Amino acid sequence: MINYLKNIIKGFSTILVGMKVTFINLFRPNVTVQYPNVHPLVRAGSDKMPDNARNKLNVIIPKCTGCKSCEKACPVNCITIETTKVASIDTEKPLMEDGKKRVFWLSQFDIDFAKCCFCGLCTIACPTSAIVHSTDFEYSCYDRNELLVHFSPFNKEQVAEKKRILAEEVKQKAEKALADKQAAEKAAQEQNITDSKIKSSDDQTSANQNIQNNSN
Amino acid sequence: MENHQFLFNFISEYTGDILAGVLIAIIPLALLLVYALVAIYGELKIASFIQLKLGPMRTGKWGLLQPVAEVFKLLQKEDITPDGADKPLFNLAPFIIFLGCYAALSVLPLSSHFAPSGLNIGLFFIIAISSLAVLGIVMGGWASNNKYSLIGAMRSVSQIISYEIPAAMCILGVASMAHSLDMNVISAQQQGGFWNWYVLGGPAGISKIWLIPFTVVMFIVYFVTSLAETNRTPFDVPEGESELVAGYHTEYSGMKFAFFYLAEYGNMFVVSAIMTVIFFGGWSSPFGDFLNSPIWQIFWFIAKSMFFVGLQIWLRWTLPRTRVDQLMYLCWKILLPLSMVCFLAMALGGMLY
Amino acid sequence: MGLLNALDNPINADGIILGKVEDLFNWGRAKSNWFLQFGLACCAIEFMAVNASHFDLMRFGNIPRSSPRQADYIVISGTVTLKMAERIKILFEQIPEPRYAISMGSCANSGGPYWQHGYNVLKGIDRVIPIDVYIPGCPPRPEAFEQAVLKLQEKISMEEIFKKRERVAQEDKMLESMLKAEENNFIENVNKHI
Repeated sequence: MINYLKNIIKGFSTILVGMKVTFINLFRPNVTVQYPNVHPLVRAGSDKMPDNARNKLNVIIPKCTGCKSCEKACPVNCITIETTKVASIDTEKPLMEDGKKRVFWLSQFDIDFAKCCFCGLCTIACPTSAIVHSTDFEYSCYDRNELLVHFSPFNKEQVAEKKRILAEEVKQKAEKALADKQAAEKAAQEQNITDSKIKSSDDQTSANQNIQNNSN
Repeated sequence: MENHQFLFNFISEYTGDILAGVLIAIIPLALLLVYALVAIYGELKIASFIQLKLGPMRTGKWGLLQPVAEVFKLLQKEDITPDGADKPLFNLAPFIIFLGCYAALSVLPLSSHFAPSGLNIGLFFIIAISSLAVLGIVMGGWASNNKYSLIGAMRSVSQIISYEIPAAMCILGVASMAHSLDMNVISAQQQGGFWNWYVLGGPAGISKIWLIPFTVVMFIVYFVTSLAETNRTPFDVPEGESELVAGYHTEYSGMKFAFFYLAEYGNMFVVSAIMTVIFFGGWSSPFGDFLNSPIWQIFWFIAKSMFFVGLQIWLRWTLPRTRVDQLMYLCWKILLPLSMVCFLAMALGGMLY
Repeated sequence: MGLLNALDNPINADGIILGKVEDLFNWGRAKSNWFLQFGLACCAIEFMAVNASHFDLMRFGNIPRSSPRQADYIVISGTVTLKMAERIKILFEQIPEPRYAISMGSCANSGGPYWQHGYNVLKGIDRVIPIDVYIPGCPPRPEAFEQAVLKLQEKISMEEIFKKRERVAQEDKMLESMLKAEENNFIENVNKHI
């Protein structure tokens, strides 16, 4: 009986304790951060997100060498890179950000943020830290295709143009090589003719003959 | 033809009465609807403040229009009646539950000069009419053809019927002291300051002091049972989200769900108003004749009732949900004996004074 | 949609009153979004954070409901396995119209890390239910989710209720008249040649 009454009093008093706690909390200042009014970037006081914040990836194209390390490092294969070699006859002489000569055009650099798992392995793999986590996280969209982001500065026509220039150069080179080859063959033939002339004339010394053979 | 003539005569003879009846019926309805908007907003805000957050902020200033937006939203929602449901029962249930709380409002004396219906057995009427909610709940739960609804309805029925006994004991205790079941009379007896309220022993002078502990315990018992009767936390096992999806109103959508929602808040007001009448002086001012004109009496009545609604909301966001067996233990082994003892004491008080 | 069907009269639907009513209804639907309590994977943890004190989704009028019948939108928060996809479809179909869906995180958007070799993972929830807003991230920040909610509210408030029906009716009329004109042309041509 005593236990029964004690139980009742204990139950009632503990409820009062709980109500006291909630009543105190009722008048404590709230901890809510009102997002659209108070932006997290503004709240941090600078253009900074919290450490290790994994937001949208950003590619700084002038830094990118097109080495495809990030594509290899990506665990989910959401990065697609296609490079085109810079033709030497191209009138545009691109430079990297550090002043070196660019070797590859980035004709395609796509990251599919619908697949990306924001692990940041690509940022570690990049030798020139061209691919970084930005501070942008507000890119929800109504259509999933908007999440496939093209970072390449070229559109399709420009890529085709660059490819055409490269092909032209290759063609020119091939022609040049062919011409060189033909010239060499011609020279060799001429040499053979002169050799036979020399042999027929029987006036040359053996030393001269050796030098001629070496040069051929 | 004669029948039509009779009807015509009847209407023309009683036009004034019918109009008055409709007008008087509209007042509690308007009160209920406005109150529901306030209570929903209050519940969201109090819940949020207790959790150190803000609650609705972006719908009007301070989110004041949030309940209005919800009404417009609920109006537009598709009204689903499940295929396997018992359609007449399913569609009738929310209205029966709402009817329970609306009918109970009809006998509440808002002021000494205004009660929608001056019934001289008001308390008895309320005990009877509040059982209608059980009917609605079991109808809704059964007709949904959903096992969660059915379990929720069964739990709710067992809970409400059990808790009606201590609640009736409390009401009977006060009735035996007041020698009346008329809510207006009970309120009038408690005039003359808070010292005369029945929670402090009633209007019987200094010799009633021995009665005070019993009446206070009686009030606590009634408060606990009122929580259980309205299916509020900590006794909301019928709609426990963790076990049953949403209890007896799992299958209801749109306006039918809005009626359940409205009835829940309406029932909260009704039990608070009963508490006000039988323990806290009804419409009478707590300071004697100070501000005790009929208009101020309406203010006092609503203020006291809203205080208890606030208390219920506060308690809801404090306590976790009880288990079903704990619920029944509390009812049959604690509240019922306590209310019996207090009832005996109060009956003795009623004989003496 | 309940009341809307009663107001569905494209012929008389002109002018400012219906426009204002539409605005009011859209406002109601946009500002009172009840969501279904439903979590699938790690994104659900972030979703809990959104509901908790620091971010407080209730500021936008978003209140949790446990029954799909009373919810307005569903949040697909996490990896959708093929087995769960069927359940999600059922749950989404149980939400009464007008209903919305938010896809949260890479897994729900396109299969995420499992898009290539995940034999048991659905490659994008939009193969099963129509999605209104996609949130990228793995998982998204709570603020990103709030931005998505704002975008959803924007979308809802831009929706057409009456004008759409009016427009559809006009388009039907135009199509009909065009067809008739073509038919007349054809008949005239045939008559000429004869």
